[in-house]
Amino acid sequence: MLNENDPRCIQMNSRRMKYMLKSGVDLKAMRLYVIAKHHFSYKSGIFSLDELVDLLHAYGYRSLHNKTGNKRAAMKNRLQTMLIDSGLFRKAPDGRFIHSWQVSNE
Amino acid sequence: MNKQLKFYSDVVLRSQRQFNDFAIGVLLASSRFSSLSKIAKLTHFSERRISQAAERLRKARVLKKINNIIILDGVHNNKIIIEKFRSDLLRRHGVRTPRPVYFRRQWWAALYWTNSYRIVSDRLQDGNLTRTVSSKFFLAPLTFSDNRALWVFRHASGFNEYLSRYGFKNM
Repeated sequence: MLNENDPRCIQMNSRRMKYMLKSGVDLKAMRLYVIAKHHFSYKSGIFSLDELVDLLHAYGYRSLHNKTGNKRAAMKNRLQTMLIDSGLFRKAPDGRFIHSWQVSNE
Repeated sequence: MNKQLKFYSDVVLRSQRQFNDFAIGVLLASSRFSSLSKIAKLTHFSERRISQAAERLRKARVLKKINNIIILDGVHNNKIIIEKFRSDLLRRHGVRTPRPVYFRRQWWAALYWTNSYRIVSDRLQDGNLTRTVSSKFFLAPLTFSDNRALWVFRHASGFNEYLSRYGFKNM
């Protein structure tokens, strides 16, 4: 049986997910949010784009390898706009990102 | 109802498609009356895609499908009259209805309702097990041995009222 303390366990709240979808969050951005939350929450949720790209390579993005001819730069540019536009991430003063979804009254 | 779906990260986050299925599962299990069209509107997928995901989750024993039935008040207690009513509905309107239901010591005409899904308890756990009555119009669910659930509606007192309220689409 799946335990809450299992490090592989993912939880998703239905109300939160509904609210996210109603406020216009894309499912692609939501997946990135869940991945970032799952892997970086133990160190205050701050991560750089390089770390995220490494993770995505482990999650099946084959073109994000470290050899020559990779597509890391293009992916980073795409991610940077996607993360900020989704509203699920904030930018830290040093250029890194923080996963934080906050309910706005607007 | 506030429910949480739990699953292994290496299964769900492996691909976008798996994650979409997971998200659809969360939305399906969140409410008793979450129809495919509502979720399709939320997620911008087609209804066919949602039903495929639901079927996949059901086969993987993540969700349990519940076939909901509502009973109609105001139809005669006689079983033969209910059968005639059923045949009239099929002939005139093309509406298929379930067999007459024996409930509270009398026979009732019934209609199909949108199917709902519940989280299977042996594989996954609910976040909050306390059931809060959030819906306005049902009295009490009566569960059968097979995956059927019967809902007694307080306000839908007749078939015409049901049609004016919900239309033919929900059947």
